[in-house]
Amino acid sequence: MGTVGDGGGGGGGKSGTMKQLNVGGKLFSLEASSLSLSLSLDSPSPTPTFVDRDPSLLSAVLVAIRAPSSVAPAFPAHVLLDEAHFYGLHAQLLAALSPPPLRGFSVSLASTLSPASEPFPTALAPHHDGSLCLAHGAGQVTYYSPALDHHATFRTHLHRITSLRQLPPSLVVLGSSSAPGLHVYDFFEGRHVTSVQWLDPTDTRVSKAKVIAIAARPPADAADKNSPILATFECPHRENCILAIDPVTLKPTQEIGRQSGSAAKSSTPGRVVHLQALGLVFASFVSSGAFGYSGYMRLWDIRSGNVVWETGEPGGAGRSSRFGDPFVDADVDVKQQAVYKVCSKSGDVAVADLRYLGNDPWVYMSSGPRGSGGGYGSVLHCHQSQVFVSRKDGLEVWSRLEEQCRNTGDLAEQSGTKERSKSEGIDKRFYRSCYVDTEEDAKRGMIQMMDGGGDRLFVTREEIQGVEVWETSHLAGAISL
Amino acid sequence: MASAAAVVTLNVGGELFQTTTVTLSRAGASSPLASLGPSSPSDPHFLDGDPRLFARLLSFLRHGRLLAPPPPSAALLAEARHFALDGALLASLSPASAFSPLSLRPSALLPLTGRVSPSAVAVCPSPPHPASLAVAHGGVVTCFDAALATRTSVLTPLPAVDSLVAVSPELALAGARDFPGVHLCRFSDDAPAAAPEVLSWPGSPSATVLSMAATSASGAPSAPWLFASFESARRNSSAVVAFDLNSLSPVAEIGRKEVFGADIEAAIPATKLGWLGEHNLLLAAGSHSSPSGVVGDIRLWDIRASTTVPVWEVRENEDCFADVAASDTLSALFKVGAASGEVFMADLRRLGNGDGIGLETWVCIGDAQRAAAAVSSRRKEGNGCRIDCYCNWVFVARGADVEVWSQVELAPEAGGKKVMKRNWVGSGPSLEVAGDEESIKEKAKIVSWAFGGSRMALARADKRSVEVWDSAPAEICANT
Repeated sequence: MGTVGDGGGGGGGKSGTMKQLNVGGKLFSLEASSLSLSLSLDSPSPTPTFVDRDPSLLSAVLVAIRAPSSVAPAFPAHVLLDEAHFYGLHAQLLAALSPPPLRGFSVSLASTLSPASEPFPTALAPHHDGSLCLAHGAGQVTYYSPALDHHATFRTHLHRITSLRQLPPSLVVLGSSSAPGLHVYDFFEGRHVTSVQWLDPTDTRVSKAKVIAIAARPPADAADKNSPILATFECPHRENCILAIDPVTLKPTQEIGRQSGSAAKSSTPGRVVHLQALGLVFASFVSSGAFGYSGYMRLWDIRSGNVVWETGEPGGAGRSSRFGDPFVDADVDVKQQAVYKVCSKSGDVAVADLRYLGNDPWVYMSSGPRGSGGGYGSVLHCHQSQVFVSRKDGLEVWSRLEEQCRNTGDLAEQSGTKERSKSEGIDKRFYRSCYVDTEEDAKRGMIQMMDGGGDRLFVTREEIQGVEVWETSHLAGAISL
Repeated sequence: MASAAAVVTLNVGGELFQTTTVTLSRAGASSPLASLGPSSPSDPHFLDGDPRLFARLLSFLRHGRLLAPPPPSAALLAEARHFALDGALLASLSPASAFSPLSLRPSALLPLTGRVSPSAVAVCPSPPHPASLAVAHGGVVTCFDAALATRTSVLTPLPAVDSLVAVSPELALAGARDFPGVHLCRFSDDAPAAAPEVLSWPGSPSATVLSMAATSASGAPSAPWLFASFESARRNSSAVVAFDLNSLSPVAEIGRKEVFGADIEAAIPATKLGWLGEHNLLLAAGSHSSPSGVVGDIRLWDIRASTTVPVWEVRENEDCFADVAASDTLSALFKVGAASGEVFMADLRRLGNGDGIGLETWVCIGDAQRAAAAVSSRRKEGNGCRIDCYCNWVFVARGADVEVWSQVELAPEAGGKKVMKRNWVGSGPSLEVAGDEESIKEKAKIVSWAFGGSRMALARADKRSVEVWDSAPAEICANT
């Protein structure tokens, strides 16, 4: 990390590691290893290297790096980042400006992002670096950089974007449930790059297919960064499939799980999750009507194209202990290899271990003494080993007690396989739930969409402008009296 | 990383600054900074100034813009004037390249003196000048500088101003529908006293002004021209007159029309003028409303070719325009239908006289079915709508809200079509759900508007202020 010696002095003895810079008449000494290539390659000389730039900006950058989130900087974040880029301090500054790791039990509302025109979000696409692509209004997409400053807004040719994903470094993949095709735009230039259609040369009825959902991209530490884009397409006659699209050539490569769409149990999935390590795709569909919710979850093997496991509610294959309490939303925690669902009547959250799936693999967890008033309209999202569940009365998070997991796991090993196979590895005692938001937050409206990116949770509410950004903060936020 | 020979050391009010001759030369030849040569730290150039303000000016020279959020303080502008940097500083505040209609946010409210609400706004053509703003309220024309920090007012002899053109930060032109002549408003004190302060139609000094348009300085005529549409006091003859703004003398009389008898519709005077610099064309359009409906004429004039025969003209009978505008960058004419309120587009490259090929001149880029239905049922949806083009966008004012049409180009492999798509500027007329009182305040009808730099200026009915929308990078609104 850089150190600064205003007005000369500084590292006289260790001139090998320290680099003297004369920035616009002020002397700085910085560690040579942290500086960018062009500056550090200058031959060592007794006089400091002269740089014709603002000294006040560099000292603001150094203050921001050394004391993250100490005070509001005098310059906007993008100005500081540009300046840090010149000195090669970009990564350090970005890390200093980013929030600390997301802890569901201690997050608070950090800011609300509101695009200038038509600020009603229709789709969210965060990325693991904390940046956000937001579709809002009539076919507009706004990109917020990892420091969450507004970068660009552009208009797409679609009228309403209902699914959106980032394809780093500069592309977004988007689709609409009212217009055919999956479209790729460059968000830096606001340029249409290409369109992908689901076509079948042997079946002419497959045309003008709309995109219902796009799977999230794998996280940064995934083994295969070029994993395909998975999107569900639906024809006007409701025939549907999951299409795998190569992220480099942007051409369809494979068709998975083609279904007729003639009944609820073969309708187009509204959520797809790519389980890269297992070679599986999780797809779920939920519909709601006068008689409550119904839906299915399926796991498709990507290579063979077969269904590995499926369950349908209400009913289902096995005798469920919770008959008449169908799920409202389901998501997969890829890292923990667990499926989570939230029940519509009781509002309980259930978890199933992907490694021990069977007829009724669910372990039900009640949200405790507070009660929850049912799960109607709930949204469930897994992010960083935490499960966020929205309800009418607020946003709840289920966190795992890692310590206890390990201890009881050891105990189970010692005492043999006493536990029933379905709860092996997962026990409801490992989980704790707590409310994320206050009652005032919940009064703003029902949560419509929720998505995590990096150490941020982005939340939109029904008929409310803008996107809420929830972060963990180390600032006490004391109110002076 | 500059060589030591080019490093300039400055002593400003006791504080040392170091920079390069290249950076200082960006101040322009008129600035004393540009002439400073290299100097060593032991023998710096001494400049008398405030070191804190000078640090911001030096930062402006390095980056080409101010980094800390605008607006600059009056002290900084005074310091910039001291170093002859104020012109460049004001021009950098609102560059046209930063204009993006989808990120326009309300940024300032400029209060006006007196009790009369504004009737016309105009913004200087911003590439040669800083985007200063002129507002007419009653007979007073007020000019705000590009930093929106200072204002200057001028009293005109007109009781009310209907059309206003800002030529430069020092000069605006005002005309009224019921009073003769174009009146010059000079905002600087050293105006030439001998110059005529009124421009009028030669031969008919009592003619009133219906509309005005100025050529931008980058256009083909070397001196900026002003086009003014005059109608004689007896309302029986009309013409568009071109004036040279340097010599303030009339240059040409375009499309003179005389009315004989009661056939008013044969010679409708132009109520909207527009200049297409790239194509060297003048758009002149006028409409006439009668019990049998609205009829109008749209003409395109090439002044170099003829001042009596237009290059192209069309008589609008069905769904006549409520307002019409021309876009240079999109090479097209746009209109709002008076009956339908929908937006139509006519490609300049495909304008025919309608005979032979049978191509429809206007293509509806809105809802064509609704447009047809509105025309057949003789509705007046487009009443009071305005349309204007700026950069790559087309703007339509509907009541209190502004809608924007942007062009989206699809990739070649996806058809390569260009489509026009609609959005609202701001949150549009949608109901505000937020509970606080501030957001539910009703918006008044837009009376006049102007675009320039990265800004949009709106004058609303019965408001004694002008609203300025800016597309500067949006700040995040923090929840507290």
